[in-house]
Amino acid sequence: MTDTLMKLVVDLSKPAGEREQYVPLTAEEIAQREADAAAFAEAEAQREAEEAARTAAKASAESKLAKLGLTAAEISALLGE
Amino acid sequence: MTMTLVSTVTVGTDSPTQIEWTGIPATGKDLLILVSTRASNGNGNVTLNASSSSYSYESLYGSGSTVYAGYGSGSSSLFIDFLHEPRDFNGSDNTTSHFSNSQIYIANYAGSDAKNLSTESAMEFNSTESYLSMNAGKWTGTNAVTSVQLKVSGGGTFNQYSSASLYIIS
Repeated sequence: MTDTLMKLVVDLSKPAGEREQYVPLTAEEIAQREADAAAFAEAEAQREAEEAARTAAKASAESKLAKLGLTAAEISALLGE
Repeated sequence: MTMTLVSTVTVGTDSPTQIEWTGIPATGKDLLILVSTRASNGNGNVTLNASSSSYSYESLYGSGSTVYAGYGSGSSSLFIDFLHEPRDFNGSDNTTSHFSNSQIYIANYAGSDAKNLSTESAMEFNSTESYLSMNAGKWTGTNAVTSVQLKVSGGGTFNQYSSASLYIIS
């Protein structure tokens, strides 16, 4: 493995057997890769926060239903599990 | 309908950050890409004509314990989870040597309208956690698609033996 960031390019305009080539990323492509990573990290953090909030809300709802006297099976049925 | 295999590539030991097809002939109606991939880290992105703007997408996925729906617009690429990454996923490490499999469908690629895409991906963790996702995407570029880039971001690279095949539907 090399430290240089590479891409595998398949140039379909060339004859078969001469199409595949490993090419170093350009500075622009490296910058875009870093921007994509930052954007993904932001989206992933938002998704994880929403998942955590949803999980907490579900647990809270289950607790309240149990206090109303519902059994675990009844709660599970209500939640479609 | 005719489905013609144009190219299949398999990653060697060079650990590329992206797989790119260029010079895609405008001889068909749609494009279909089938991939079996694993990456060292990061997420999967797709771009068309190496454009870094004007993408939007909607995602649905389930992990075995949770489901999620998301939306993004004005993006620099399409987030498409075509990777099987060795990162934690709800506390479970991805299984060694398991690869994800996905398909990416690009409709009307040679036309002059915005390009619509759909994807399906599956990642199997050999545990109670698995991962299924579906995405709808759009690129508002109006040029014919002559190149497609499958990228790993987040500092990752494609693992050896990852493979991708490009088909033209006509």
